[in-house]
Amino acid sequence: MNRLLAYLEEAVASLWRNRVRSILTMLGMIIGSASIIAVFGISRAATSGINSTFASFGQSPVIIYVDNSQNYPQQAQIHYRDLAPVKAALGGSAASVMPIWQKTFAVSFGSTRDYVPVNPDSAYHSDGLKMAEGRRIDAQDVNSAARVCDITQDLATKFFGNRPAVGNFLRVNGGQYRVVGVFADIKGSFLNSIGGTSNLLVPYTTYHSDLTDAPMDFLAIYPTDPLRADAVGKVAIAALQHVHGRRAKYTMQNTADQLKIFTNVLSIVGLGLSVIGGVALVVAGIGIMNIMLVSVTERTREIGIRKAIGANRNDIALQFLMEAVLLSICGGGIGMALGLLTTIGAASLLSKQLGTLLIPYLLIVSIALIFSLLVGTVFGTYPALRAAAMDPIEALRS
Amino acid sequence: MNNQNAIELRDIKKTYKNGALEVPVLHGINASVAHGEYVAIMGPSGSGKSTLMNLIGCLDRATSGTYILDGVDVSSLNDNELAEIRLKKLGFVFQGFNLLARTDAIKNVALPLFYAGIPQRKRNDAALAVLEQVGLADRAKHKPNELSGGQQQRVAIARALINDPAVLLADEPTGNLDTKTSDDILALFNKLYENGRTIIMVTHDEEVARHAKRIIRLRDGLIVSDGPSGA
Repeated sequence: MNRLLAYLEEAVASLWRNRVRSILTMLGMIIGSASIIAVFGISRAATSGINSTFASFGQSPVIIYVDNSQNYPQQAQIHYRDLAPVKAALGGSAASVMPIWQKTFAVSFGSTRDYVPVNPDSAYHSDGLKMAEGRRIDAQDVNSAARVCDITQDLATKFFGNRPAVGNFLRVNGGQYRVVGVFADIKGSFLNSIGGTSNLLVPYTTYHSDLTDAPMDFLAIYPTDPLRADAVGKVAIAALQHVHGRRAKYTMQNTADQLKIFTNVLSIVGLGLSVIGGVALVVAGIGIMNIMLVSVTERTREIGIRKAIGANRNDIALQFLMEAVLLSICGGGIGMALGLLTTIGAASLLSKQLGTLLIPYLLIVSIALIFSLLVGTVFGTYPALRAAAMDPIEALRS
Repeated sequence: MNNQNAIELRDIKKTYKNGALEVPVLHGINASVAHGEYVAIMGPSGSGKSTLMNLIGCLDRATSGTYILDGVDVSSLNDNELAEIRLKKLGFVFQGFNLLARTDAIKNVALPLFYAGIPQRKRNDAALAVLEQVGLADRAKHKPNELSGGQQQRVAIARALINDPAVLLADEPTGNLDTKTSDDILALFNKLYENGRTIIMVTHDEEVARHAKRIIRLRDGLIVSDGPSGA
């Protein structure tokens, strides 16, 4: 240990003597390491953000909508009355079946008026949305088609300012709706992906009875067993075809599958970029090897002196290897710091869209250290062995 | 220990191979140096004295023959074993001083102890003690380029002495020095000899060789004379 420390001291001194050259050599390592860390960190952080976004959707529904490529899509349109036969066909295999409309209505309070995206909601809430105040829409609201609504924080501020929102009434498409709840932060949520931070939710029964009698945009089914999502979707489509005829065509979208595809794409992109960063590291390693070979040649006499004094092969090899590793670790360390800063910066930008992101600090630090150590060792070995193999007489004569 | 020689060379031959060409340099050297002797090896260039010096210094191996250094047969040791012998039993003083540049005197002197695995504090204490012996304790923190030639050679001698070697080898130790400084260095060798140190010095300078107590003369790879210097 003592000895290793002494070698380290020697290596530091030697690198310091040639500081400009050392820094230039490190540059390759800095760039390689920074790019790998940034790419890896950002893609991991983004994946965590996207995963948590999808997680806040709660359980993923199977979405069924009309296939518009068929000859008579209007005949296949899903009406509110189709809910009953679909529910009957699904029985206990669906936890919830809900019609979805995506429409915008005029909403006003006093003289404040705006067009706001309105979404249906049921009493089944698998998402993790938290309320700032009030409650979610419940079974009683749905059963009685009550004129109640939940709104986002932005809407509460827009219409009510500092006044309490819960208990107050909003005029939606001409009807009076009592506000029963205000959502807390909905960054990175299902609502967010539909209508930004302005959103108003009413019971789907009320949506149908008061707001629109148009066919639904799509049907959302929450399977009881998420693993049987495809089978549940097929049963629902069969039930719809039973009502609309065999020629009616429907498309099913399993959001859980989409999430998988999306994260796969992201990880492939991340992997690809990491490979490029890896190439940069190899190039940096070759740079280190090159400089170490130059250094060995320049210091032939020094090697000769050390050998004459009694240094053996290992002593000499270790000394030069130490320098190479030190170069790569310093470069890798600086690169890691830069990459980490880039990751933190990018994550803070992305978090506006994706909510809180997890940056895997420990993983990043250990990857940077391991790679730097690896590059230094791999590319420092050959110059070190060359130095160690030198004949002391030849070396002293130089 | 006392009846044992510091150096024993038996029929040492050295042939350099240059491709297919074989160049014999030493043709069978027989000599022994007792502990405490002060020997000069002389000869014109091409006589093989440098080759002999390298062999004695364990920097090279003989093609044939037996070399016993301080009771150890070093004829057939490998590189690392020779390094160990150099570390423990030999001290080198070169014509060009061969100090590590940009490294202060005390670190240069302590370097062999570093390779011997002695902790830093002990190394520094020992190095300072040897520098004291050569009269340079006050220059411990000076780097070679801040020292005169004579001072650099003293640092080199201190470095050669720090591991208390069985044999001190000096290769033209005064070759780069002016007469006055040469005399100082030779006086230092003399003092070391009087303290019982075994010294072998290679030189082509009769004047310098006369300071040794015994002179071995080489010519064409053979010893042509071996006797007291008359000093």
